[in-house]
Amino acid sequence: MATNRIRARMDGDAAAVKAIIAHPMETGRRRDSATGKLIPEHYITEVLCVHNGKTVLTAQWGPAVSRNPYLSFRVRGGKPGDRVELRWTDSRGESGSLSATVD
Amino acid sequence: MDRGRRKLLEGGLALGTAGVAMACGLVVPRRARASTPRAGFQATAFDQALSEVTGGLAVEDSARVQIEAPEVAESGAQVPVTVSTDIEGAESLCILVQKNPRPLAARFVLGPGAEAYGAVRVKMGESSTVVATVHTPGKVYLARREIKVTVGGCA
Repeated sequence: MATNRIRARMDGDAAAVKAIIAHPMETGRRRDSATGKLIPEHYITEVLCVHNGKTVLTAQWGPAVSRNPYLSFRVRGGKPGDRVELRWTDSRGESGSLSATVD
Repeated sequence: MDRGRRKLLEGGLALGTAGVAMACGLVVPRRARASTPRAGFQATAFDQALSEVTGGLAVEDSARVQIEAPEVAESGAQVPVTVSTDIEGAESLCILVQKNPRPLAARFVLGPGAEAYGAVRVKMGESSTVVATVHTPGKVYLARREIKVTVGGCA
C-alpha cells in the first residue's frame, strides 16, 4: 500500500499543491482473482482542499479516479508558511486527512 | 370574437403544460440542476453524464479549455489528466472519459482562492476521448482529447 504524500510549493504567485492519497479506489467491477467474487466498491467521493482553514477547492470523484489517487491544485496568493490540508471522505464513510506547509 | 380572451386562454394552457412537465420532473429549473451535488457520477452513458453535468446550460467548444494528457498511455490504470482555463467566472471543472462505464471521473468545485486548475490520474478501460468542461454561471465550455491506451485499466 502506498503512503500518503503531500507537497506544497510556491510557483509564481500561487502555491502549487501535489498529493497522493493511499486508497484502493475499488470500482466495484473488479473480481477477486482467488474467489472470483466482485470486490465491493470503495472509493474516495470527496476531497476538501483547505488553505489556512478555508476550503479553496472541493474535488468530487467517481470510481474512475486511479488507485492511490494523485491530486494537484493551485492556490492563488498562497505564501510560504501557509497551511494546506486535504480532508477526504470515501464511499464507505471512512475519512482521512493529510497536511503540509507551503515551502 | 374576443381576441384578448383567446390569448389569455392560450397563454394559460402553455403555462399549465410547463407546470405539469416541471411537476413530473421532466423539466428541472436550470440553477437547481446544475448545483445538485454529485450530479452525473452515477450516469453509465456518456451522453447522460454530460447532460447531467451541463445541467441544461448552453455548451460551446473552446480552445481556452486546456487539457494536458499523454497521447498514448501505456497503462490505463493511471492516466494523468490536467485541466485548466483562463475563462473568467469559472466555477467548476469536470473530467469525463467517454468510453468508461461511469464516464464522469472528477469534478473540481473552485472556491475563492483556487486557480481554475485541477489534475488527477484517471482509469481508462480502453482508448477513448477525454472531455473536459469548464462551468460558468451561464455557459459550459468544452474541449476534447483523444487518448490511446495500450493496456486497459479496469475502469
